[in-house]
Amino acid sequence: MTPNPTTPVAMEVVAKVQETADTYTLTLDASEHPVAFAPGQFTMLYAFGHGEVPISISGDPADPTRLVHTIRAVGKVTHPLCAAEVGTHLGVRGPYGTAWPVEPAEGGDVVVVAGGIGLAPLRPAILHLLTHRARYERVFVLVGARSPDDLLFREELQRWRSRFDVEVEVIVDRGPPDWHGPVGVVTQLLSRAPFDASKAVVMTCGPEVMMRFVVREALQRGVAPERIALSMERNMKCAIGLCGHCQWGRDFLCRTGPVLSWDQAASRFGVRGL
Amino acid sequence: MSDLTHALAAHPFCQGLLPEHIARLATCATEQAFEVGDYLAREGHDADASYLIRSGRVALRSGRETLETVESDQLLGWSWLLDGTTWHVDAVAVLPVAALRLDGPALDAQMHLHPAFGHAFARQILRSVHQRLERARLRSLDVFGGSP
Amino acid sequence: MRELQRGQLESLLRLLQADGRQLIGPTARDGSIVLEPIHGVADLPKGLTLRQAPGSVRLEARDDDALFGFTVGPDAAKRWLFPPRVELWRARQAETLTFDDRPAPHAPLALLGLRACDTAAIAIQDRVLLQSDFADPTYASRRADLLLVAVQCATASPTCFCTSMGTGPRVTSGFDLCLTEHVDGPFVIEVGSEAGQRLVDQLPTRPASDPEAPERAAAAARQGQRVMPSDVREQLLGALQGPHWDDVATRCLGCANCTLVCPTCFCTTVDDVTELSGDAVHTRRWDSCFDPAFSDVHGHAVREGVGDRYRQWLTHKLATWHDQFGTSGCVGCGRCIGWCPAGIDIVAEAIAAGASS
Repeated sequence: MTPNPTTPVAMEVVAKVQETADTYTLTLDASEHPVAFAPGQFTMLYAFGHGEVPISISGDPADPTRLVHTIRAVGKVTHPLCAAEVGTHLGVRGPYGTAWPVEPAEGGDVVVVAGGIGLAPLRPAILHLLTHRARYERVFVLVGARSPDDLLFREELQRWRSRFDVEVEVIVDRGPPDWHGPVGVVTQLLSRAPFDASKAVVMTCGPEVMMRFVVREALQRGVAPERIALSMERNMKCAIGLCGHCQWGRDFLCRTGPVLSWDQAASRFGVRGL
Repeated sequence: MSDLTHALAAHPFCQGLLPEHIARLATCATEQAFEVGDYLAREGHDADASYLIRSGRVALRSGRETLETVESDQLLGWSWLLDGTTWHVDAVAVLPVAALRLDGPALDAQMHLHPAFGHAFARQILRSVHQRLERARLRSLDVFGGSP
Repeated sequence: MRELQRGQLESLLRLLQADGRQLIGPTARDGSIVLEPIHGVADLPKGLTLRQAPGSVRLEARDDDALFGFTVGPDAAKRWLFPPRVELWRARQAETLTFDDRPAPHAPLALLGLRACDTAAIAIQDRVLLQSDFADPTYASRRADLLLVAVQCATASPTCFCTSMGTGPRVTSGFDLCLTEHVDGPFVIEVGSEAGQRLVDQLPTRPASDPEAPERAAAAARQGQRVMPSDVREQLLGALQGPHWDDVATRCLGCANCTLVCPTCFCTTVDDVTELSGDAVHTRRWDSCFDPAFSDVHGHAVREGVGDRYRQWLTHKLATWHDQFGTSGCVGCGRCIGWCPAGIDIVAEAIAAGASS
């Protein structure tokens, strides 16, 4: 954890990769304030003069000295963050929030279902699974994106696929003429994946409506509600449970979320405007 | 049980069909294989069959656009059930495909002669169409798009 | 229990300002009675009261010279312990990026004139702001060195419902001194802490000749209150998808008055403003869940309709607050009823919502 829960520390951008037209992965040098984090947690990133925004950590939890975030330029703060070049300093505080259930998943199959930018908060979980591969049975990484150009971590996905111990499937909403992979929705990948529902953990992250479809499919396959994990997104200003913005029913999603299990989320998911 | 009937019974499309209906379905079915690039359907041609894909991948295309892909364990084509229709899409194998071809006219005759079979079969078709409609709706939301 | 002659009250007020302490007490201003820095008895709202009803709070003259002849004004301790605007840090971009989070110095405070509902609200804010992993340093430093002189209510406004919330009208804890006013006689003083005892030791007090006065006052204040049902939490949690929220949406203006006057509401937001000096200042300020942009995600509000936002406020205050902090979030002060321009009554709405499920 950075020293002060409300005051950022400065970290230098040491690497910048453009993933898609509007999404960038920034690596920050955290050697002065190593950030030990659990997969699924987020930090508050500060762009000087613009403000703070919650961004999931997308890096390897095994290396706390390099803090990696994958950011989509959609607003007032994410635009300047994505414009930051190597050598710029950003403000960072964290990590905050709950983690993907990588430990409860040990001993069974793990199914990671990611949609769009949702692959970024799941990447640390995938890296953890691969670092400790022997603790898990079959590992599935199912990724949906708008088009092949919108895939994150493309080369890494290909490297994972070339391993013999992880099953990577990618599906796109629209396929250009040279795309010979599946075209459709990510739930199709889930319904066809041959995992053992009685021992599986499903972790999913993406737009809310996508997660709803994924959860329905997982429940139909027989995965227990407490073994389906999703990541809920709400407005956040303080990240420490005091500003009230991220409240969803009884949870402040920055404290008892954003990762929740389906049995925790189910009753609230269907209430419009909660 | 013949190999063909066995293959039909094993296909998820037939889950829930009574054995006698599967047997009747088998009388309209043949095994087929397609190489990469082969067409299972051509836009504008008479729609006269359904295919139960057993393995591989078929792309449904309109012009150069791929609308969706149909994988193993899925159903391809049902518009022969509606009188005098043609295929609205091209269906081309993008991976080698093994399929069970269900002959439209033969099935149509069986459905008229044996209403109980007709009812059960139509329901299975409707289940597939329903699932595809749900997926199409989700895709139409373009959830990964959104304005920056 | 002690008593202090009315004419000696000034010496208590002077004591409360000793050693650079800032005294905050009730005073009449702008057609109401607010909690602001005061210096002497002359600043107190003598002979004034606030007549409260749904959607109406009027400053009126009493027919006596009572100094504390009102129940609650729009301000609570929140205004001074959890100030509306606090600079959290300022960033400077030179060779590197630096953050300066040194807090602004502030005088220790004395709060005079708080009621039982107000002391209960402070206890609730203590749980929210001090007892989590991330205690708020602004609140903590103001709270730590606080002198609190409460006043016992002798009457209830029609908008009050502290009795059914279990927070009053008798002031029982969370004070250094508690005064019960006799218009024609001495103040009865209850001592609630060592700091209170030290104050009393410096005042010309006598043993109280009427030690029943506080309880008698409380008994009178129990009359005429609204009654919040004891099962309101369960009722509301079962009514999340009921039709009542559409009904309240036709009346609620989303003006956020209720959250501003509520002594336990704690929502804030942050502003980032770059000064001419080049410092980028990060300031926290009060916010309200009624603000349409409060629940914005990617430019779209989750709680789009005012009915959704009212439901959030009501169910948080009376139901999910229990899950988060172990108590209700409401102290029954009735401020939201009086200061709502549409006269929406939280008690009536809670009952109606529960009944509609």
